[in-house]
Amino acid sequence: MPTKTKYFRFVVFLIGVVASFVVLAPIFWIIFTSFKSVEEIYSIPLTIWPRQFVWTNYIAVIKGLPEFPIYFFNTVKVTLGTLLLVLPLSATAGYALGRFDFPGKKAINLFIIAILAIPYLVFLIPLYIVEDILNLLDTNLGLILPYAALNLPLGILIMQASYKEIPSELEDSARIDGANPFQTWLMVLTPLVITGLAAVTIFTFVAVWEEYMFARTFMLSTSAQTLSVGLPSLRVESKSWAYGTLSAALTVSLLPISVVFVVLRKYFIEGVMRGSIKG
Amino acid sequence: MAKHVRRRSNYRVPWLFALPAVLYMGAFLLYPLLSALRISFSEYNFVYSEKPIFNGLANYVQLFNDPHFIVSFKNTVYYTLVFFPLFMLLSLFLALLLNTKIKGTNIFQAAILLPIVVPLSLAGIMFTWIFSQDFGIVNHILANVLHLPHLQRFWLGDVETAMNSLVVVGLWKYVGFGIILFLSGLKAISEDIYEAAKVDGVNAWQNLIYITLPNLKSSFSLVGIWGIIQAIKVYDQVVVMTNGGPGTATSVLYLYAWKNAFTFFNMGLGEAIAFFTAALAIVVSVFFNLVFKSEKR
Repeated sequence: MPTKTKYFRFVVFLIGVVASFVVLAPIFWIIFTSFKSVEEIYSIPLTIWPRQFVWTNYIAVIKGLPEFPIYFFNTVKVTLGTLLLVLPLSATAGYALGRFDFPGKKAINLFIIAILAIPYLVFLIPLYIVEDILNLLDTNLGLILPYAALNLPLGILIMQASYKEIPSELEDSARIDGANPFQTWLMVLTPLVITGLAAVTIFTFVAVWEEYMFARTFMLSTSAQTLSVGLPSLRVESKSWAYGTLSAALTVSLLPISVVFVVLRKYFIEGVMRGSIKG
Repeated sequence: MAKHVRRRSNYRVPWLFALPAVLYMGAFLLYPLLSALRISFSEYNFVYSEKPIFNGLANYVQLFNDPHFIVSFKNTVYYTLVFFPLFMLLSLFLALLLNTKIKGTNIFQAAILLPIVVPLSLAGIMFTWIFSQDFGIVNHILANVLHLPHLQRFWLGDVETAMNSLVVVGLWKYVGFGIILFLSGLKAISEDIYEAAKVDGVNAWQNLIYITLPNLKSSFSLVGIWGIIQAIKVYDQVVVMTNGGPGTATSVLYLYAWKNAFTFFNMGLGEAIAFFTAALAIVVSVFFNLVFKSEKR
């Protein structure tokens, strides 16, 4: 907005500081807690800034929480596996829908829009029954397959819009040069939709990383659980659940993703904008 | 002749490219959807029943005679009524803030959008601790910083405040998405309009009322639908923080559906609630679309 008075700027700046503080305060509270000794965490009155920084909670996570690395690697495996399915499937379908008119196109797009409007809960029960029959419960694949399905519709929409933006001269000249449709797609057009692919990657990544309901329902044993379901389940199991250890585990879980987000958020924002245009 | 051949190959190529995704969605979305519909019209206990036995609308009829379902429905409506207006206001307000080209917006943006990558279930753990009765920071601040000890509560254990506490967590998590959606609408408004207004000596307030907000109409519809759906499907933080309690004070539709399906293994009833929720989401979206369309012309 074009207003540039000093007073206006100052007020806006102040609101920005307050809003940032309110949003970040819960995260900082957890980080501070993670550096306090157990006695300090459960002392009254509470302290906000740790009286003494200790690493005991982090050591407790490393030594006393063998589940933690398991959750972490399951999360990584499930995320990568989902991306491995979603990216090629949405790139191929996006190309077909974005650059061709063919019978059935309308039906596919209608189906995609319908799926986006239906809450995931509807799919939970039938997929559970199928996975029970196929022995996929408690396996990484048992999460990868439904996650890929649930994230595919938005991926296809984004890729469809991305391929549509490319001017058709490029495709025509590739065809004149004798490239077959597959080559045209892979070598000429796909390098031009990298931002679209990045948007799909970030979307899928965030969706998988934070998914809770399917993970909670399909992954009952520790060996298969992801972070979003594993950490809350620890709280219930553990005898005297210590918030010090939990805070340390939360901090370690959230730190890498937060750094990635702060650095790459431009692409995420662009991705949401892309997805929202059509979705 | 040549034209005919070319057109046929035109169909074959796109279909070859679309086929993998279409087959995948057919297997993992369309088949489950039809299967879900059948289950919702069936008597199907996952432990005792061999297979679903068609029983017509019995599950749906049972729902509306089930007080626990009615309570869950009412609680979901309550959550939505509190969450939704705050979600819209905060998203719009902060999007306008971040859209100004003032020093620091980049840092504010990073901070305010950060909860987007915090899983709601993990936010649930954080806020359980923050709202805890004896060692929670909220009660500490009320008593020792603001000197209002009478406002201290067992936030998650009190029927009066449990649901509102869950709304706070939902807002903390989701406002970032609302901001981005509004920002994309704001970025789409041409600078030329503001430039022209500047020449006419329009002030910031008039800019907002007469240029910015009217041009955001489609964003309102988009953010509105998205926000309402997030409210209708509230689940993650409920499970982690209250699991429906105290009593049934925070039992919501998703939670009750889940409990029917995976605690009592009554898949038919669970799926009926799921479709009720889906219908609710779709009706609200269509309504929203119509309202904002009819205002447009």
